[in-house]
Amino acid sequence: MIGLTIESETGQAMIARVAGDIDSVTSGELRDGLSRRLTNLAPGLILDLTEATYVDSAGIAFLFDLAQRLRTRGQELRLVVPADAYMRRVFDLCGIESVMAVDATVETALDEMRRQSSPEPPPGGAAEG
Amino acid sequence: MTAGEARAQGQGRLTVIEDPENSTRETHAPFGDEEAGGPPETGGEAIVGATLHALKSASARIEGERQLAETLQRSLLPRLPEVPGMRLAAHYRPGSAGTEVGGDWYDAIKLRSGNVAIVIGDVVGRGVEAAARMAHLQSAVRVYALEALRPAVVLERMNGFVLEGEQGGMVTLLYAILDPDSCTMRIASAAHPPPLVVGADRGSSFAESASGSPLGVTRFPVYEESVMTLDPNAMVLFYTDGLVETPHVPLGDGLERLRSSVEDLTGEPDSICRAIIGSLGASSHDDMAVLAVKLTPPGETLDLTLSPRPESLTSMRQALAQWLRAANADEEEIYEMLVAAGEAWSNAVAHAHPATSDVPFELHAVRRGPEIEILVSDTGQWRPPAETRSSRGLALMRDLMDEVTIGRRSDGTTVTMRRQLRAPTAREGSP
Repeated sequence: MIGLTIESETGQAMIARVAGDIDSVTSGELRDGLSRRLTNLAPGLILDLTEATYVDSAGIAFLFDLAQRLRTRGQELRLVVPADAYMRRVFDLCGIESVMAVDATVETALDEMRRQSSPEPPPGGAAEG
Repeated sequence: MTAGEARAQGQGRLTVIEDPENSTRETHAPFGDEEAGGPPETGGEAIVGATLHALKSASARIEGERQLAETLQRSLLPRLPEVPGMRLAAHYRPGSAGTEVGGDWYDAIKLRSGNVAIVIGDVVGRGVEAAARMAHLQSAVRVYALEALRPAVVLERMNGFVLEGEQGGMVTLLYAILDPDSCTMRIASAAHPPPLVVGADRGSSFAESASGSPLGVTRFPVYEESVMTLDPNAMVLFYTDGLVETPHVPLGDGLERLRSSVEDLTGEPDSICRAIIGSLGASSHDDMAVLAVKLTPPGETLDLTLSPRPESLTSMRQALAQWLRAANADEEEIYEMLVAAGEAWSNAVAHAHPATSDVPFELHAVRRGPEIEILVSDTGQWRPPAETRSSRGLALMRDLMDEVTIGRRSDGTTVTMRRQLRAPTAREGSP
């Protein structure tokens, strides 16, 4: 069972929240669901996995493909995975952070994405928490 | 028996009991006597003939409608889900001629948490209308169930739904959530008779719970919830009033009759449902539904027969998680072993020979002291992982488990995975 909810606002990163298991069965559904909704206008996609309960190698392959596809369009993919989620270990084992950023909250991911997409980062910017 | 074996035996199948005696009586019996009676008086013959004809066509029309209602009702009753940790069976018997088909219904909904929601209800009314109304109610309950609402809240929402429907007529409904891991049942009732709980010692009692008003009667009903702990091998029987209410017999006696008849029964939920309707159904012409749930605690070993179809991946994870939890693995260990077993599942499916792609394969898990061993055996030939995806899967299996070996035989492949559990003492005291 998989759930996908998408929030998008013009000019802002699109936020897709995934609930349920991301495996060989559901990653195809997820790919279709996202392809239909992704616009060229968004600077990037934040995939919120806070409510995701499971990810396996098929799910990870899907994430790598997605990051690749977005990169060719000049868009960034950021994952949101809570710091204490069990799936963090699976992501670490697969070296996912070499390809996409993983943040603990949607707020951090949005801040990071805004910071990177603004042409001139504010000099001497605010300290990071 | 484990969930996997039960699945192999096709549990959860709906069987509707036919009562041959009733079906023959239903057809034309009321008019048979008339035809067989003495010759009609001369002169009145035409009138009697016409009346007889009208009666026959009316009878055929009523019978047609009854059959339509019955078909509708049966098509609406669900196929029960397969739920690791329990076995489910249900039977519905339509009322006999004179009372027609009613709006009795049951449902079992698998929730994301691994729990199952049981619904049993009765729509007052008869025929196609009652069956159609039941369909609306059934859909609404399913939506609320999937929202993971508590039983009392489900009944409150359903009460609102019935009031908005303006279709009149009383509805009784009982909603229960069964948790096979903790062996608990949480129920709330809208004037529906209480489920019967049968313990491992065959002793039985009705679940005590405050019953609220039927749905659609009052704007602000109060529904109370009660939680009970069940015996790990308990069986719970849900039913509609046709089973306990017969004309001329007080309800208390009907309940007692049900309780004593169940205590004599042994066996699987399916045969128990069958036997109950067989023994109590004879004295009632009302329609009746019965649903039995039997808890099947995880055993020393887990043996699953898995179909190579996508839906078996989720069932496998649920059954394995439940078994590992009972084997005292912690949640992180469970998660990681589920991923490893999922990878083995995907490999077995991906590597199956095209000619045997529908052949089920097997998962066995055993605990030896602190060590968990999981075996996944298929009839396909393991191919060296060429793709990055499957090599990543294999790497994950090796990283998440202490030891992974792949045994190739001429008739298939067995993946054996082992992992030591952390000391259980480290987890004591945590909920």
